[in-house]
Amino acid sequence: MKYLCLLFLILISKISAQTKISGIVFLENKQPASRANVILTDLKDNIITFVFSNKDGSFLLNTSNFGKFNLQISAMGHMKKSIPVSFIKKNSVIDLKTIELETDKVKEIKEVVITRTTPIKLKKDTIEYNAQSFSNGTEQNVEELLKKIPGITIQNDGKIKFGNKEVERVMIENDDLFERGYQTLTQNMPSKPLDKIQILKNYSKNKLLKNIEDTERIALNLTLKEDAKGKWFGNILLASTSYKEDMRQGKINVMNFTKRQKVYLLMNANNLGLNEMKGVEYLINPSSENEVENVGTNINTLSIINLHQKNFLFEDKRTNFNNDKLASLNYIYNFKTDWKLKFVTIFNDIENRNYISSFYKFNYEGLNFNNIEDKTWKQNNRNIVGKLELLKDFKNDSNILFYNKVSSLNENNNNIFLFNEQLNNQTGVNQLFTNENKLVYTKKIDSSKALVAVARYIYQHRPYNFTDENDVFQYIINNPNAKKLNQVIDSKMNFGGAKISYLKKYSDNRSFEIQLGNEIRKDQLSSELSVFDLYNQRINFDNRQFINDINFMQNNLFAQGKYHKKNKRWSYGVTLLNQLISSDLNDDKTSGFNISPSINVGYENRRTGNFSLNAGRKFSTASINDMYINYIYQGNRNFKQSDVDFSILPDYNVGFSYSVGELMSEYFKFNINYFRSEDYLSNNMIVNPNYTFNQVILVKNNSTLSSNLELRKYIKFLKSRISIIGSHMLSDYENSINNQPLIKTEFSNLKTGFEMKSGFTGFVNYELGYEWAFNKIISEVNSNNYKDQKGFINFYFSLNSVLKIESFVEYYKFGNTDQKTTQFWDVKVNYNYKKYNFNVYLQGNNLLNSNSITKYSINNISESLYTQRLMPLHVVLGINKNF
Amino acid sequence: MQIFGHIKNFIFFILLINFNFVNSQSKNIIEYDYTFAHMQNIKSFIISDQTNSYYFFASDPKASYKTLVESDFTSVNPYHVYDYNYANENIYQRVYTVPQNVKQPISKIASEKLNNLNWKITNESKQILGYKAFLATTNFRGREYLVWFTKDLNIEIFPWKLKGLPGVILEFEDKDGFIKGVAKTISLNSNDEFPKKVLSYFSKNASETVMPFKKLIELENEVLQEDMNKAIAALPPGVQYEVPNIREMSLERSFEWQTEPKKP
Repeated sequence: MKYLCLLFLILISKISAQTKISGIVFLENKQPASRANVILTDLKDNIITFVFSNKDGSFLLNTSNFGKFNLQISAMGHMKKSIPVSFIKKNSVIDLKTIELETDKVKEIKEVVITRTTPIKLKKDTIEYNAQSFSNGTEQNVEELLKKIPGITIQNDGKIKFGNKEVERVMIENDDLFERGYQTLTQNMPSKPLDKIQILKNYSKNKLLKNIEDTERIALNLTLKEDAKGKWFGNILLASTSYKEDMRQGKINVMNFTKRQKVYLLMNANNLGLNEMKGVEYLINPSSENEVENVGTNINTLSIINLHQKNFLFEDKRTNFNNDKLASLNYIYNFKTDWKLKFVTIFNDIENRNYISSFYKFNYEGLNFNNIEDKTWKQNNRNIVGKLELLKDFKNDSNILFYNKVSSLNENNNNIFLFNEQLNNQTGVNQLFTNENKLVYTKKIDSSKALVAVARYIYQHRPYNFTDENDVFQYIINNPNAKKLNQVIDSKMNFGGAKISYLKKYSDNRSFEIQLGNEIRKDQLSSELSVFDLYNQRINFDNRQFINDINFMQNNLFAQGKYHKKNKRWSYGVTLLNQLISSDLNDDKTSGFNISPSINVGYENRRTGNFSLNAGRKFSTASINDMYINYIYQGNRNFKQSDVDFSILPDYNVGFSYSVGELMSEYFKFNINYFRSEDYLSNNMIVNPNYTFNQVILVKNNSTLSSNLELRKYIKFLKSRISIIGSHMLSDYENSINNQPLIKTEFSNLKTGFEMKSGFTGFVNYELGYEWAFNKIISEVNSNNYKDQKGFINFYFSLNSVLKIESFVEYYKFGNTDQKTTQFWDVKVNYNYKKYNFNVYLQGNNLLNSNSITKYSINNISESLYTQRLMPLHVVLGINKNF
Repeated sequence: MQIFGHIKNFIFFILLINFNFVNSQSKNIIEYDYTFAHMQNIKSFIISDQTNSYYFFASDPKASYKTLVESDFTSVNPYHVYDYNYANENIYQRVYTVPQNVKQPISKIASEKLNNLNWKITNESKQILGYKAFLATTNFRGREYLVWFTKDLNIEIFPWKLKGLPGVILEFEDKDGFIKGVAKTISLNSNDEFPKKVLSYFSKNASETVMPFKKLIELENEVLQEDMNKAIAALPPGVQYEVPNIREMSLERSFEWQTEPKKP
């Protein structure tokens, strides 16, 4: 019964659990202690509760806990008092009455300084954001979340900018899966798994070069929530027009990331005109970055002729009649032993059709003719690329990177041309096989010095075989039976290069770099042309003029020094490149020594403005495409041949730029550049109504002067920014027609226009702009001018956080054409089902159904009108779901 | 008028006495390594004598209280300076973000009464500079704060407005990693005086008219709103910007008098 009572008592006290402690705190001098700390702790010194004493020193402390406690009372300059208290009863009140605190005599006089000796590491070059605090749950992908981060903007092509600088890399958990093609990741990865977004300033790809390399690069690193690691997630997109237009898109992205292993799989197919190759292009073309970790800065994909013409004047979505399929796999594995393995593979099958009709009018020295052409270009392109990369970090501050990249391209062309109503078919295939190997060794000597050695080997092989059905050879060899021609080209390139660089950073503001290296490149090119009659019987003729067999070797031994210095306002940079270039073109040997200096000086001052001045001299060399002695048929009734040997082409440039003000409020920018080639490659055209022979010739002195101007101001009462934009380009060049003396031609292009954009934070925003372009050509034989105009007005409605409507209107008016104007109107409505993690969109493209657009162009001997067929009106319904 | 002038002088005189008295007390100084958003390598300082507590920043990463004294406090950021008065529990701060169209003169000081924040004290503890520090958390004006404080110094010192803990805050950060301060040095019973430069911001002239804190926020918001409009308008065509809370990058993201704290 007694125990039961106690139990009952305890139970009751646990339920209605309030115990009170009160008292009044005085100091030694009998003054009441206001705001003294009164802290109730358990016997392990954990804080249960606390109060501050009132002005009169009184306090009242409530607690619901039971047991033995200490009440600690303290005030500044006084000894802490600790009073043991215990409560076992409910609603008990302990009144401690008066508590006096003694003056702390020791502490009062003695000054005590406690300091940390170990430096606290506060990340210097990293800005970190919590993904969650910027998310409202409607973001479909990482890109939409990044848009909300202060300082980050997303460009139209998916490239990310932080401030004014383009982000170079986007990494996942410190692993770089996509290199320059990071928009694949940011546009497709769901944002939900993200934990932190880190902005890395002064980023170095090679972590050993961090703070040694003179870099202002920016990279992003995305970290994942713990529970997202090792999970499969991704998105799926399906979109389609009605069955009548028969256009579709399907896309699936699947990914799985752990600290150790990262996998990303992408599949994509569309015939909606979307170019989904942008994210993988970086992998297809060899890198030509001029940096310590690369050698071979002017290596491009080998290309002798081009059997396809894609439209570049208008956006892909208007003119890309396509049927594309793309699959890619990106994989990274981090071994425990500091090895990293990276594997990327791409497969794509792309079809592009381009429809152009053109009118060409030639007029020179009594030769007058018009050609009317109708061309359907169709190309099928199959590409397989695989890249395997290995990276090993050693303990002694060094690392080694090796990669091997293999790619195979198969291109099929099937073009249908109507030349003055005569049917000409062109069919052809070409392949490209490439193999590239690179080895980089980096040794960090100390915190300010490093050594980088790189070796690279590239092999490219590109054979062509194509047939043209046309009457060109009826005129050339004077044989009416010549109906077809076939050309076989074989081209090979071998490149080997090695370079060693030493980097030294004297201070944050002063750095030095020296590079020594050698590059050797061998090109082999052979071509042969045959002519056939209607029955595919070969027609014999003296084809020596149409056969090439060229061996070209170029060796470049170089040393380059770079020095950079900066102080508060001024910055200086000097680069000096010494090159010993030797060449061997079919046993014709040359050798020469060149010095290419360049300097730049910059000055920064917010009040007076910033300017920079740069000047440099450099030497470029003629390539294999400029040196074949006999004709190679280029397609399109064009032949090309060269009269020049190996040549070194010196040029120099001077540039100046100035800017003042703040981009957001009031800003002015101006720059001017002058470029002059002392020797350059031009051509001599031997023109015939039915075909053209082009000869590469060496000409002296051409120059280009270009300038740009931008003036922008924020207008407060409109809450809008207005910009005035102007640019001017003036160039002169010389060429020759039909072996006549050189004709000097001057071409000028002046563009002027304005742009406005609103900064409303409400539900709507607009942007609009207009531009006039004045083109003028003056030559001894012909002068002409014309004017092009274009304008746009776009609206963005954000009706609420889930419904968005966008409207885009474009307007074009090209001078010297019959077509008066062309307008486009596109609308997109996007609805977000936050709850189910998906969004639905309805997109109307080319709602005004403009079916073609015509543009005029001129050169010194001819005028042309191009009419480009456009993708007709179509409405797409799409759904995008994250999982 | 004359009388009023006398009274004013008299009050000033009393203030002066009080001042001297205050000055004569020994000070406690805490130096923090501090980061705020993009800004790093900042130092923040508290100098307190339990009547007033001054909180201010220096943008020199190598600064210590000693070097500040030697350099006459030249690297002190003149805009972010706070004066907490223990007696009336008011905090005074500088007014500097003012829209262009606001008529001058305008008060240079704003103030608000600081209430004790609603802290949750945990049993988690660690040693900081030799003191046992407990982890406590609270929500304040749109941010969740995690602080480590010690009750073993017998005084109450807090940076900025993180009031209401029975002790000294030695580390503080917000959950988003936006703000972080780590005590580097504690000087107890220092003979240093309150820095004249810091005092001058709260001198009689400056504090003649004190702006209510709400008004300060009103003015600040007006400027921030315009900055946001400018930032959106400055983007290239085709580039859209998601509009976050205009105070996203401010220390105080939202306020208790707003019905609904804006989330982006």
